[in-house]
Amino acid sequence: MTALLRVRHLSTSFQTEAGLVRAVDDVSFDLAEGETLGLVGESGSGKTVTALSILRLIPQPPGAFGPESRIEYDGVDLLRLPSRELRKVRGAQIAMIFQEPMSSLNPVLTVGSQISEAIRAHEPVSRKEANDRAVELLDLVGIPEPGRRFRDYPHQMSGGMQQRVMIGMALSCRPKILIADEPTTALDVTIQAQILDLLLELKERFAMSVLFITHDLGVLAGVADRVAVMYGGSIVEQGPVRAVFEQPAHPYTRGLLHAVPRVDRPSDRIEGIPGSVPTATAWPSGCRFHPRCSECMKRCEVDAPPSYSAGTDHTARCWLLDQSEGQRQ
Amino acid sequence: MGRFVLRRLAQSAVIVFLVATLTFVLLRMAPGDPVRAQFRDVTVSQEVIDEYRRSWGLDRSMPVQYVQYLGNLIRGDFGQSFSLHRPAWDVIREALPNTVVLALAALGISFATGMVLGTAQGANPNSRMDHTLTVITLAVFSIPIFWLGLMFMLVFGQWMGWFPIGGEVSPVYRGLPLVGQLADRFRHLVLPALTLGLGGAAVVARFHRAAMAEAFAENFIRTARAKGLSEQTVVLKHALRNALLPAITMFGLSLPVLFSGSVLVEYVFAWHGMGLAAFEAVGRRDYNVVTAITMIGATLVVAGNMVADLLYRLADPRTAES
Amino acid sequence: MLDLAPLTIPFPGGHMRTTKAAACLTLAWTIVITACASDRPCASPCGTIIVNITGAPETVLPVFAVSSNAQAITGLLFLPLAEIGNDLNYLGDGGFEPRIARSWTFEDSVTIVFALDRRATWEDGEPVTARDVVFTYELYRHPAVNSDEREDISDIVAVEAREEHIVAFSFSHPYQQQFYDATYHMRIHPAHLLDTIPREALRTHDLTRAPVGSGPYRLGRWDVNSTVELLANPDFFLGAPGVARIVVQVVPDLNTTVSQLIAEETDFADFLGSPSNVQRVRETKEVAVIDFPSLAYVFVGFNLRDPSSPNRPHPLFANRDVRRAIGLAVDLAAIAEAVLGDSSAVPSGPVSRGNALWDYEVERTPFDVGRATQLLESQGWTETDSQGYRVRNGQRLSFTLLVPSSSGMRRQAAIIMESQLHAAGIEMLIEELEFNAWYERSQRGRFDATLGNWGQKPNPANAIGGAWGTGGPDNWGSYSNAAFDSMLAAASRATNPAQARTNWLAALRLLQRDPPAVWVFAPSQAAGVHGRLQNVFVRSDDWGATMWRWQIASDQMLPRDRVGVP
Ligand SMILES: Nc1ncnc2c1ncn2[C@@H]1O[C@H](COP(=O)(O)OP(=O)(O)OP(=O)(O)O)[C@@H](O)[C@H]1O
Ligand SMILES: [Mg+2]
Repeated sequence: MTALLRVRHLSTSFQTEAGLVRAVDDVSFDLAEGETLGLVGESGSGKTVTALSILRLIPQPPGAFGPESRIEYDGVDLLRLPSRELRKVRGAQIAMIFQEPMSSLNPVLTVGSQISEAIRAHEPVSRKEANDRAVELLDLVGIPEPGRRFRDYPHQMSGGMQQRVMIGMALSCRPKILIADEPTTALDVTIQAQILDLLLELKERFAMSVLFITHDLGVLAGVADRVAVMYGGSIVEQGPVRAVFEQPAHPYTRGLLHAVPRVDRPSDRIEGIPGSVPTATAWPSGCRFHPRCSECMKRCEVDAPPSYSAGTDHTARCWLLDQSEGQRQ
Repeated sequence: MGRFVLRRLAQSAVIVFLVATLTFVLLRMAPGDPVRAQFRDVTVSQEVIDEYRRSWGLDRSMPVQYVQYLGNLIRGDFGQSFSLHRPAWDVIREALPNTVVLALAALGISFATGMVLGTAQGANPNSRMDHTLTVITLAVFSIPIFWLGLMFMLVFGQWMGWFPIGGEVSPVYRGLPLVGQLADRFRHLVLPALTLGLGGAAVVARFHRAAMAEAFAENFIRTARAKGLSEQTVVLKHALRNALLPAITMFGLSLPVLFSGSVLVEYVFAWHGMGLAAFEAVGRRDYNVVTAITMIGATLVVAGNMVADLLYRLADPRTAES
Repeated sequence: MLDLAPLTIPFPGGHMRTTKAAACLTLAWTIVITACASDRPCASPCGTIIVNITGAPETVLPVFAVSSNAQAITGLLFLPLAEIGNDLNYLGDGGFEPRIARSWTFEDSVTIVFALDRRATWEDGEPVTARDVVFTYELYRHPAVNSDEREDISDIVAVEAREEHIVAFSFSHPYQQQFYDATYHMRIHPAHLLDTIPREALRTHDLTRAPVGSGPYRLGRWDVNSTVELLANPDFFLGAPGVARIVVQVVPDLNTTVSQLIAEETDFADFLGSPSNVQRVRETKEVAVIDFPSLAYVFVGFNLRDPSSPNRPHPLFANRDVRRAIGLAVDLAAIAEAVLGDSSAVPSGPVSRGNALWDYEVERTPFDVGRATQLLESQGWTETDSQGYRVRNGQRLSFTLLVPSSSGMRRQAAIIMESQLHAAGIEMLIEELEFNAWYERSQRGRFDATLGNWGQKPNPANAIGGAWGTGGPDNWGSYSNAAFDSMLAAASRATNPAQARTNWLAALRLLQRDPPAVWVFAPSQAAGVHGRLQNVFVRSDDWGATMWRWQIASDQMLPRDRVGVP
């Protein structure tokens, strides 16, 4: 499989009053055609910032990308694309859905017009045509009476419906890549499954690549082809979903897997790993996970580990994987 | 919607009635005698004073005067002007259009300028333009309106001669052809409307900048950008539409300020509107004229607020059906 | 007849010539020079005079006119029997010019017979007759009409039409001001139009807004709040007016009026306000300043009654010597100089500069702190407290002066006076009040001292009696001096000028010895007039009095002069 999207050395930081927030630090990954990559991590680990960086939706200032950062889509570096060109990618090639559908929809515009507006931004169609297609899309994402709901305002819909609208909007121009940033987190548990099913179905139908962001590792088992685990602004482990689940190489991933996912309420903190995520203004020295790591060594406190191979197409950043460790000490 | 309008109309009527009553009482409690006020600096016999008092009904007790006043009011009669020997309504009929024209022009300037500046600033927060405009709007905001008027008058009226200094039309207005009359009205409107409107523009710009900045922080703006919309569409359609709601609220709130501000501007520019008429009438203790102007002013403010509420309901679908 | 010193009206004629020369120079490059050669007026009636006034006129019918603006405007629409002369003489008929009356005879000591001008007509073509004169007299006297001139014509006992154009006035007694009383207060109203309207309904009747007069102008338009437009009556029986149209516009702010004068947006304003405003106009080449004597005087009136219980005398001011001491302790010349510059002078009594009494040689109260101290010490104010104020029986010599906040000049004068009095050990506290509140407090006698301003008519007797005579309606401080009252009455009843003069002099001197007030200043007034107006004279009592004879220089016509002139 060829990589449709290549993210290389992505660093995204924010200048704030509290100091420089290094939200994403040297993140690299690939997204192949037709592939679903699961991006998992605790709250504040930098998942959303990574996703937004891809479409350059980070406000600049206060946000800024590191000089090494590259985001290649179809061989073109999106970070260096003129904004006119970038707009042609947004929505048309790479679309995105967000965590909170309610606030992500404009409250003073009808849902239908928000969809048809996306179509008209990229295709030279009449208003009428765009509206017709918007109704079709509403139908496609499972909204009953789409012709009537077209004229609804967001507040007249339930959260699940709103997320369906968001999905319809994202698919309106048949994008190659869909970035789904915790699309079900804000929804009722029963609705979550429906939305997840819808996404899976549509992914197949539209043959899209998906970057699926979640803090719930369990969800990924049935969804993702590959998994990337984020901690403290960087990817600590990535590999095929089976490999990561069966042979987790990083103590953090192991901790995530041991944690019992609570189904009754979405949890931000992952049970089973003591301590909490450090703040992005002051990452710990060495391995950022070391204060919480049960297998912490001396060098972990001092030096950040490089990426080690943990199997085919499977890497992790942990000194435990360093073969030369014994000899050196 | 219909019930809402009816309820608001009833409320408005009560407000106007209360304002009229309060004015009626306060005026009569204020020091100063309406008859004496007509004879400034000249001696006059008590006989003449008493006859005036009798013919204006001021010799009766306040409750009696009040009942009579209300009786006349119900018949649409605002009573006689003490200082002009004619119905108080005559004064209003002439002054009202002038004030409405000036207020609308000032409102237009306030909101057009304020919204454009505020949008530009809110769309580019913390840019150099934003900072420059912030300094300018704060400066304009802190200039006393009276002084601003005098400066405009001096610079653009007296020195440059671009615009006339006083009045709402020139003294020979009646003799001009129609086009000339329109141009004449416009030329006279510029300086007072700017004087009255610029302070408001600064306020609107400040508020609207904040509203735009707030709208820009909303998630749906991110959605709009993620769709690949042009920045122009994002600003004008998505952010501005939402930032309009605070602007509408501000419109309602700015009406009373506009009316009180117009007293000074009308005085300086000899603009014969309600503000000036009120100023003169208070000075001459012309009770009926003051009460009538207060009532009309209250009606305008209440009506303006109703319009603002209706606009708000139209602009915000979330309140539309509740 | 009294020898009244002619009022000197310094009109800057040379100033105007400069203007014209300058205008010709600039014009010479562009337009024909011959246009400048003449400074002749345009063929009358022609052009438009724009006049600025500060307050809307209350009426256009003379019988209801109270304000000076309404009187000036109605004076252009309606005529009196005879017009007072520019010197404002009010004794006998000296200086009076014929108007509705073509001639008159003093039939006996209590009767004047007027022969009306047969050419005089109303605007609707009806002739002006003796019936109109009789009607007018009844109108002014009628209680329901309630003219404030009613008092002034109370010595006229009857007005009779002897023939169609002959009318006789009878007076209750012989006196010098009979002719003035018969002609100055009343302008002739049309009986044939107004007679049928009930008197009590007249004030608000529609006809009062569409007046039919017999004067040099008729009403073109009247917008209550803003403008009165007067159009020349080319067939006016005393000759066509010089200017075709007069537009009187209401501009409340005098700063605006001055700017308008400078920007040539207006032609005339009879009042410019503060000395700095006057200065702005003086510095403008195109606009002339006409100084004329004002008919007003400013005073600090003492209350002779205790403000808290009017039956008791005032603790301080019931004492004549304390009042005199205060008059001696203030340097009035310095105040006048500081507040009004050189356009003001110190009056010798309740008299204004426009008044005939002004020129009577009555010595002013000198500025003499030593004499003031002497007087105060003689009254027991011998000690001084730590702040330098005089004390008697532990009581400080202190009083409060009421000042209307509407008058910048009076406020300024009060502040200077305060420090001058402090130097003499007298504490004067200043209480500023809104005009109407000040008026009410003053009028009700709830004050120690009040800083007032009275306007007068050419004959000051009624105004002086009203303000300072025993029981006068405007005698706020309840001053009462029987000798003064009788001198005043004697002056008014005098049958010859010498007798009148003797009595006036005695009365004014009496007020020096037993002062009811400190006479602070008598201003002269400045009017602004555009240089293009010719033949301009501003009479102290009425800015419109001679306006029908004003003209506009033909080479200085402005575009607006012709706009809309029929
Ligand atoms: N605009 C911004 N300005 C400053 N800091 C920011 C900004 N956006 C994100 N951050 C910071 O970057 C870090 C990563 O945030 P991010 O939203 O990417 O986390 P996340 O993994 O998506 O968490 P969650 O599960 O809560 O969505 C956080 O510490 C956050 O405070
Ligand atoms: Mg997130």
